[in-house]
This record gives sequence, C-alpha cells and structure tokens, in this order.
Amino acid sequence: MGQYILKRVLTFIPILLIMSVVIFFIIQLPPGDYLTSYVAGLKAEGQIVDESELASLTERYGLDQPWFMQYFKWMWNILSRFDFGYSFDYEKPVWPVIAEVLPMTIIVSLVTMLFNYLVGIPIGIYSAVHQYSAADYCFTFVGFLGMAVPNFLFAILLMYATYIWTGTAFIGLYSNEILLGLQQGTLQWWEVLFRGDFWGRMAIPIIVIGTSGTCGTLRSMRAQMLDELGRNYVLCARAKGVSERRIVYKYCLRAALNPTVSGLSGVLSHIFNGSTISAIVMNLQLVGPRLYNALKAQDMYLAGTILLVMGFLIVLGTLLSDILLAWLDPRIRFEGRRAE
Amino acid sequence: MKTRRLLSALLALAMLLSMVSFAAAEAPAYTQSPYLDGQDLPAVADRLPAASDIMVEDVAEIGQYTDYITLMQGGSSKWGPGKPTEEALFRFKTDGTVEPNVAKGYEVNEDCTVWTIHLREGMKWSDGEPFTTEDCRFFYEECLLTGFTGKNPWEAVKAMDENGEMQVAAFAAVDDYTFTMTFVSPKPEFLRELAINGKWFFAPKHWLAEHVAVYTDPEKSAEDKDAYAQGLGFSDMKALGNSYTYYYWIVKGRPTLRAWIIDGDFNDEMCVWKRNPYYWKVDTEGKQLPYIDELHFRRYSDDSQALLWIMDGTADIGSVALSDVETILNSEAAVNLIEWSSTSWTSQSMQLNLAVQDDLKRPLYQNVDFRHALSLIIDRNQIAQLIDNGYTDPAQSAPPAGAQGYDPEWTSKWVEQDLAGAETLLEACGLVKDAEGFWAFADGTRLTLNLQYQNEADASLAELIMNDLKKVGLDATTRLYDRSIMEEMRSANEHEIVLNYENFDTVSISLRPDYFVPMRDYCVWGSAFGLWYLNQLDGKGREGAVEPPADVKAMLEIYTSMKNATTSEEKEGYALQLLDCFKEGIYEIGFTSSNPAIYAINAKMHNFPENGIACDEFRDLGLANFACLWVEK
Repeated sequence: MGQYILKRVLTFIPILLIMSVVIFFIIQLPPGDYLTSYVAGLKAEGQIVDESELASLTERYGLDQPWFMQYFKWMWNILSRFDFGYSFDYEKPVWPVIAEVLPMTIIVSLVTMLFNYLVGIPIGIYSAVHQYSAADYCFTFVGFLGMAVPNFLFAILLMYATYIWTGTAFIGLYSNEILLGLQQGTLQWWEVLFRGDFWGRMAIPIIVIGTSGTCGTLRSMRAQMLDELGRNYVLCARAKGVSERRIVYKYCLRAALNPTVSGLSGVLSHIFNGSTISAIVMNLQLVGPRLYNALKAQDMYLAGTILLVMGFLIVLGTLLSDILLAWLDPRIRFEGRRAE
Repeated sequence: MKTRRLLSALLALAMLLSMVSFAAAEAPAYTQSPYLDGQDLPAVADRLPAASDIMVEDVAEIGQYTDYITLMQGGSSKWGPGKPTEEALFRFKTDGTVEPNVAKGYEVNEDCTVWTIHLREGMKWSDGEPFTTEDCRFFYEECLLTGFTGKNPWEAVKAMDENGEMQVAAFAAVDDYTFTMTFVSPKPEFLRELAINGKWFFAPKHWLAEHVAVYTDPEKSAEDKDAYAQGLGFSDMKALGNSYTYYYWIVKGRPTLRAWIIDGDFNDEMCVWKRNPYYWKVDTEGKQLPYIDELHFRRYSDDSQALLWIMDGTADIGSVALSDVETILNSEAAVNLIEWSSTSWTSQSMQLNLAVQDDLKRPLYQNVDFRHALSLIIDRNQIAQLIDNGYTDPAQSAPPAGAQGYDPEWTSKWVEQDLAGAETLLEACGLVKDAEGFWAFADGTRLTLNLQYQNEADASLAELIMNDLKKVGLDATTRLYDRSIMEEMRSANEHEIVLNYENFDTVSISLRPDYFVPMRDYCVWGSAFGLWYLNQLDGKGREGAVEPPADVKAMLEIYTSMKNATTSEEKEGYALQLLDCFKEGIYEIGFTSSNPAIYAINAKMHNFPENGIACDEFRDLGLANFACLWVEK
C-alpha cells in the first residue's frame, strides 16, 4: 500500500508538468493578450493609449516574448522561488489575490457539500427502500426539478424573492453591517460565521448550489441502492433472518456508496474553486469568479495558478478517493493478486 | 489736556472695537462635520486655505452633514470612484465651460503662449502638508516628463515649434502660489485640454520624492529599481510609478486634494472612502464640504445586482439602463430618475471598415453610394421601438441638439426606409443580382456582409438589420465576438461591419478626434488608414497600413491643420469643416437618436443637478459635484 501511494505521488510530477503546459498554452490561445482586453477596457472609459505606451506595457508584462518563453519563466520562478507571478488585473502577486477569497470559498463549498450529502444520501436510501411510494414520487419529482432548473436562474429568482419578502435583496454573503465591520477591522472574517445575518444570506447559495448537487446525489444513491437491494446476497440475508436495518445499512449502503466515493476525486478541487456561474450571479467573492474574470481578461498568471492548483487537487483527490474506496470495498485491492 | 487724552483714548478704543467687530464679520465662522469632532486635528479655519482663497461653492440648498452614501462599482475600472472624487486644476461646469477649481485663477498673454496659474494660498494636502507650486513642478517635471506616471506627456502640454516638432511647455515657478507654463507656439485651448487630458497637475512631493528619487537615480540599475518596487508590493518600478502618480486615488495613505480618501482595498466587496479633513471648499454658510462623510462603494458582479440594489434602496446613486426604467418605475423604490443628455451621435449604429482587407469589398465600402444604400434599407422605426423601447427616434448619426455642428438636415439624412431607392444605388455601385436573387460583384462573387458585434445585447439589433438586408437581396451573417477579440481584430484590420462598436461620441471633435478621424489606429471605420497617416508623419513604415481614399485624405489634411491652429477661432473653423466631411460621407450609419443617460437617485438626496451632460470629458457622474450632495435624514 505504502509503495503504491509513493508510486502514485511520483507520477504527480510529470502529470502536473504536462498539465501546466496545456493550461498555459490554452490560456494564451485566444487572439490577443491581456493588453488587448486592458486597452479595450481603457478605451471604453474614454482613455487614450498611444503606440509607445502600448509598446512599453507589452515589454513590462513580458508579452513581447513567445508563449513558451513566458511559460518557462513562470515555471522557473515557481520551482525556484515558489513565485507564481503577478496578477496584471489586480496589480498584486497572485497568491494574495487568491488568499483573499480562499477562506470564504472553502466555507461555502464545505457547507454546500455537507448539505448535499446530508440531505441527498438519506433521502436516496429512503426512496430506494420505499420505492414507488408517494414520498418516493415526491422526492423524484423534486429531484428532477432541482437538476433541471439552471442554478443562475434559481439564484436570480431567490434574490428577487428576498427583495419582495424582506425589502432587502440578499445579494452576496455579507450584510452592510458585516461589510462595515470587516472594513473597519471591528470584525474578523471568522467572527462572521457566528452571526445570524450571515447564515440568513448563506441560505441562498446553500439552496442554489446545494440543490443541484443534492438532487444528483439523491438520484444516484437511489439507483445504486435499488441495484443492491435486488441482489442475491440480500435475498440470502433475508432468508437467514438478518434484520432489514442491518441489511440496508451494513451491507447495501456500503456497496451503494461506491460511486459517491469515487465522485470525491473532484471534491478537493471543487472546495478550492467554489461554484463559478452561481457565485457570479449571487455576487459571492469566491475563487471561481476570480478565475472566470482572469480567463476573460487573459490575466494569465492568475488564471494559470488557479487552474494549476485545481489540477493538483484533482490529482490528489483521485488518489485519496482511490484509497478511500479500497478501505470501503474489500473487493478492491491495489496490487493485482498473485497467481495462486 | 486730560479731556483730549481721554477723547483720543476713547477714539482709539472705538477704532479697535470696530476693527475687531469688522474682522469678526469678515471671517465667517467655519464649521466642520461632527464626524471630525474629537479627532486630533487643528481648528477648521486653520485647515482651510487663507480666507480669501477658500473655494466657496454656491450650492442650491445648504446641506446637512450626511453619514454616508452607497455607490456601486462593477468590474475593475479604477475610474468608477475616480471620476466622482476627481479634483482638477480646472473643472468643467454643466454648460461645458471651464472654471478654476484647485487653481484659484489664471491669466494668459495676448498670443496664448504664456499661461499664468494661481493656486490657493494656505491650501493643504489631505495629511495637512502645504500644497504649493512645488507640488505642480514636481509632478510635471519629475513625474510626467520623466515617464514615471507610465503615461506619455499629455497633448495639453505640447505645442508645435516652427520645425513641426511637438515641444512640451516650460514650467516656471513665480512664487509658492503662482506658476507659468510657456509654450513654443500659441496654445489657445490649454485650459480645456488640461481639464480633459491633464485633469490633475500636481503630486505630493513630500510623500513621493523618495520613490521618484529611486526611479531617476542614474546609479541604480533597472533590476535594483524593480527590486525596490517589489519591496513595496509592485511587480516593477513602472507599476509603482503608474499607481502612485496616475491611478493614485486608490492608493491607501497617499495624500490627495480630493474630498474623500480611500480607506480600504479597492477590490474589497465594500470599499469605504472617508472625508478629507483638509478639504478646501466650503458652502456659502461656511460649512466645510463635503456634506457626505463617507462614500461606500459596493462591488457587484452582474448588472441584475445593481438593479436590485437601486430597487431596495441599498444604492443612493446608480446608472440605469433604458430597458430597466420600467422595472424601477413599477417598483416601490424611493428614487428619482434623472435624465442627463449625452454627447453620443446615435444610440444604435453600424460602421463599415473602409480599409477592409477584401479587395472586392474595400472599394465598395469606400463608395458613399453603398453606405447611402445601406442606410436606406434599414427600418429605423422598428429599431427605435424594439431595441430602444420607444425612448429614441429614427435618426442618422449626427451631433445631438445643442452640440457643436448640430444640423437637423443631417439628423434626418437618409433616414426614411426606401428599398427601391436602395436597389438603384446598389446597381449604381456596380453590383448585379445572381441567379438566386442575391447581390453580387460584377465577376459573379456573391457579396456577403459580415455583421460583427461585441455586446450580447446587440444580438436582436443584428437580427433586425440582417432581415432588412435580406429584403433587398443582400446576403449577411452576424456574429458575436468577445470584446478583446474585437479589439484585436480592429488593430489587425480584420473587422468588417461592426455594430455599436465605439459609437461616435464627443463633446468637441477638436478636443477628442481620436475615434472620429483616422489619425491613429483608433477609429473603427478606418484604423488601418490611421497607420498610414502615422507612417506619413514619421516614416516608420508600420505594417498593415492602408492608403486612404481621397475623401479621407482630405479629412486628414483638415485634421492636421486643426491640430496646428493657433487660435480658438481657427480651430473651431477646422472642426466645422471636419463635421462637414462627416455629414457628407456618413462614416457611421446611425439608426436612432442618442440615448439620454438615466440616473436613479435616492429621493432624499439634494443638490444633484437635473440637467447634466453625461460624457467622459466632463467626468461623467463627477459633473454632479459630489462634495455638495447631501441626504435628508
């Protein structure tokens, strides 16, 4: 097992290197570069940028060099100094730009994920065990609805609903008081977590981001459970008089969790990134929207770093979910059985 | 004797008393916002400039001090908070004339070569340090001319010498509060140009000098300088200079002359700006301005959030799209909608790239009859109703009423839909119909017009135009491009027919000709002509230059003469000639009259001007003079 993990970790290096090249290549693939969108932005504001200014900016940002030279420079700085470069748009090193929004991103992701599993798994089991009951039909209906309604639309509707019901639209995670407190330093970001007005606002992302995931979990859990419940070992257990509870929770659930656990490989990356489109619609300052803007503006070191970290987390998540699967399911082993 | 002595003593006493009471009447009691009470500051009168040099704002209504207002900020544009808080040497009034602001006044010699600017005695930076001519000299000579700002010296400070070379003006300090700018040739529009391009003309030397010294130090290598900047959190020295002297208003802790100073990170979800205790303006009752203690900029990532913030009263001032006016009117939002006129020539437009690379299309697009035909094909009523929700009228792209060059005949030129007339013109352009009934070039190649646009909102406009074109048998395609890709296409001369891309919009064509005349690669209808013009000037041989047709060359000649004109009248004359060229050639085909800018203002806000002009030159919302705004409690 230890050897297996070591082997897998060593394969991370070439995978990440290849990934970084692909990421960098794709980011600079669209025509133009950061300056094109920067200049377009300046012009939209009536600013005039003349030729020599443009030339000096191109040189300053190193955009006059071919992309692979820019890539090597970037990689070298990462490897030699752990320096991920500067964000053109924020005019800051890349890490602080990400770090600013990272805690809240992790909180939103974890909370919505918890909601997803805590709601999706029990209902999935219930639906499977009580197949074709009124409650099953009801959950199935809600489940399909949840998957079918686009998140961004749902978010806009909920924000509008809060405006109609309370007179204040719940936009973003922070109320005016929290924002003022954070600004003046009378409130630390973690203290926010103990405030009712924060959780009131948090309800919207939980419902919006949570439901679509929850519905997916619910449906897959139900299908897997139904599969398991029809197997011969269940019949055998029942014949032997094993309690229904023990059959469902000890045997079937363990097997039915397999797809959910293998789905965990993307979870780490998701926690880091948060939700992108829904976050933009709800005005949540998370890593996702920053990545989206960086990609749009071709702010390449920021976009590249976020994507690279996401890639690393996916690779790591896959390894962790593989280990978890082996622990969960005794049928899975890492080393092939020796011929007996 | 005694009586005389007593009398004289009494007289002296009476004189003294009268002097004291006179002095008391002369110096009104200046008052400050309760926000500043208890702060460790000198008395308000000591923070203001000398009594005679204080700027007194003649406010419509004397205000109450207001704790804060909330404004909205979308995207990364630093000008969002920049324009409303800007303090220029000279500022625009709502009628478009220029008046002293940071400067107290000016004089100019007869031939407009020497401009003398007077500053306000005793005026202070937001940290209490004195503001003098040295701060102006420092900015001009050590920041602007050395390139520390990251910007080339503004056109406002340049004039042409007898050899045709542009020379920057010479700065000379007369005393602590007076300086002169001397030009090599007459510079009649100096103040207006300075108000547009120059804006500020000063930097706090006491705060900046050490950074500039590193930048200009000949002993230090570029690497050393960059390392110095990196130590302060910048990527390199140029980024530091640009941030500290150009986009300085978002640098926390940097002294300014603005009414509010940033007190957080510009990228924060909410960025608070606090009042400048040393602000140098008062109202007519001696209350130190601004009335508003704090500006709160809330960041949004989607337009629907801004609309909801206006509706639920979070935002006190917000810009409203025409399509949202009904929504706001139907809501219970406690806001007043205020309309400002705009300087744009049209609200919906189409520009043909006259320098398009396709050899068959280029001569066709350059033919004014073809543009005439296209203009006749469009059903403008439909666009006004469906796209502009009935807020505009069918119109040609032309200066709006009240603007320089306004001409009703121009506004209605080629506006009525006339499909038969258009077909005749198309034939006259040498086009023929092919077997399938589409217009084609004489050699049988079908003419396909590629309509390109960059705002998703323009998709319906593109569809309407395409349908109109098909009615006469003109084949067309439409495609949405990302803004930066469109920008790249423009600079590579790969665009063809663009919709609502840099619509003509200026207060004065002589002050901002960049988007109209192809004197650089800015103007959309002929960016490659701009390269040709630049090549003619400096012989550098830029790639992708296209030689313009005769009408455009004539336009460029007028532009050159306008640039070198030495009197305002002369400049104005050339500007009118240029406008004639645009009326003749219709280089931008407009569909509907220009949109007003609509602002939703908290119903309890006072002193927000009812009649403004929304344009960049006048600093957009900044023209509302934020220091005088206040909200009733």
